[in-house]
Amino acid sequence: MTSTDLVVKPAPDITASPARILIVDDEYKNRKLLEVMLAPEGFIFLTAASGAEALASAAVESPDLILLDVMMPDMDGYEVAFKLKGTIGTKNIPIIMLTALDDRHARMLGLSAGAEDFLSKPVDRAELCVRVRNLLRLKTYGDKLAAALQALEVSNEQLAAALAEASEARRMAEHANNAKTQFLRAMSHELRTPLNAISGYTEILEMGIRGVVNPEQTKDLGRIKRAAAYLLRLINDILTIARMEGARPLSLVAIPVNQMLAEVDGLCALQAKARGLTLTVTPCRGEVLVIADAERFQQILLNLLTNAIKFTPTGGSVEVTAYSVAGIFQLRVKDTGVGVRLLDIDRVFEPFVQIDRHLTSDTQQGVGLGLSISRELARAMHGDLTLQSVEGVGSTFTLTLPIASDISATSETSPAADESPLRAALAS
Amino acid sequence: MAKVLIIEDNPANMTLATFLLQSAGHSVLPATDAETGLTLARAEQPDLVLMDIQLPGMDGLEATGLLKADPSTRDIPVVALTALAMKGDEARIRAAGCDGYIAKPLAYKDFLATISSHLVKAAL
Repeated sequence: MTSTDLVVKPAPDITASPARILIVDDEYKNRKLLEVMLAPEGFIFLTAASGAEALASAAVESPDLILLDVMMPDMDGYEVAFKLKGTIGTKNIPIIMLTALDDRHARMLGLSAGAEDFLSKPVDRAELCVRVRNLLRLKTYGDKLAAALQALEVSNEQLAAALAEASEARRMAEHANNAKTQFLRAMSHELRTPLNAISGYTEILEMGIRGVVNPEQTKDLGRIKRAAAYLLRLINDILTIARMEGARPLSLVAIPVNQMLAEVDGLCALQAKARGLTLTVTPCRGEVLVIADAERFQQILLNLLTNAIKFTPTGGSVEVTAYSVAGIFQLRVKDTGVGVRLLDIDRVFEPFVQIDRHLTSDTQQGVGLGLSISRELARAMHGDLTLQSVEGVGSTFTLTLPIASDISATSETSPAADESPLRAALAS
Repeated sequence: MAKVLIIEDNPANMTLATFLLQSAGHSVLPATDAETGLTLARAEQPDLVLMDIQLPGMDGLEATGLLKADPSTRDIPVVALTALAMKGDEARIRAAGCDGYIAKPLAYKDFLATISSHLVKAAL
């Protein structure tokens, strides 16, 4: 930028910061005369008594316009104009040259030196004012244009930098994603290999092939088997959450809710009793069919119930209530457990998050994938899983699923199912 | 009963598979790498090949390809027994020419049932 704030003013002659005019003439009275003539315009005046002084002043002060006398000793006006126009810092300052009347030759020399305009001596006041105003106005436009161009250049640079940054970020993300896939692949393979030997040999021992197994040893073998099964489930859960497992696609069919509830009740009753909890299951009034994948539906129910049982202290209760509202099936699992702080309500559905791990014994501890997977599955089946909870009072999980409106046409998935990322992952 | 060639580099899993097959009355030829396995397959003409996929040197996919390309071995059923059990693994393994696929960790009964069904199919 060659100038001050002035460049952005709409008009050159009537604003808060007046235009600054550099008057160059070797004779004091000529300089004074021009100042007096232009005084009513309200400009600020700078003066120079020689070409050298003019060059220095122009470079330092960046005036808005220069009135330049041609006839000066040492360095004449042409040379001054030529130098000003050849310097980046001053080339945009308009120059009006003051020449003798009808001196065509002088005007040609001024033009080729780069001056914008001419005035003949003796100077006419009105003409002087008009020419100065016009050139100041042109300069304002020029400055605005230059500023806009520069701003454009800056935005272009920023845009290019942002693009480069984005493409680098994308490259890194792809790299990280590949690394993750490689890692999970290796992890899955390396864990399954010894697990194969662990479960295989446990089965051999259990069968009594290596000798008679006493009841204590049978119990120990059972523990090894459960631990191995847990480890395998863990590997599969991690792969599921990473959306990489080759699971079968969802098969959405009409499922009688009450029958499913009775089954799950049967599976969890003992567990609840062992913990000293009251488990009550209230089925739907009348038969209700939901559209779901039977195995995944049961997986969600089991996850919700075992969670509730796990996090409810002895003497508490777990209530399961099923009902349908406005064509939507709702299932509530309400416990009198430890509850979840308001802050943590969304976090319980995040993978690998387990709130208050210390409340569960080591054998019950999972990795915190159950709720995350359950919600993904519920959503893949066009339902949802939500939580209301008060810390220290209890939690209520609500599972929603669509109800089968026409029982006869239920064996196909709806087209919207394809939009779910989990479904896509499960199906591919 | 049948003669089964096991190509498996992990000693514990080799012993396990050997034991399970022997307990079902089969005889076993062990090979701990693909090259040895190919030589044994050609020389001994087993009734079935149990193939680990991730092996030192030549992997099980390449070895299966060579078995299936060789007229002297191409009719021997190849069952993959592998810890590669992620999305796409089974399809990839079957595409390489394996007739069957068992993911580790194996379950004793399923394992023997799969082996028997391939032996029966090959005998027909």
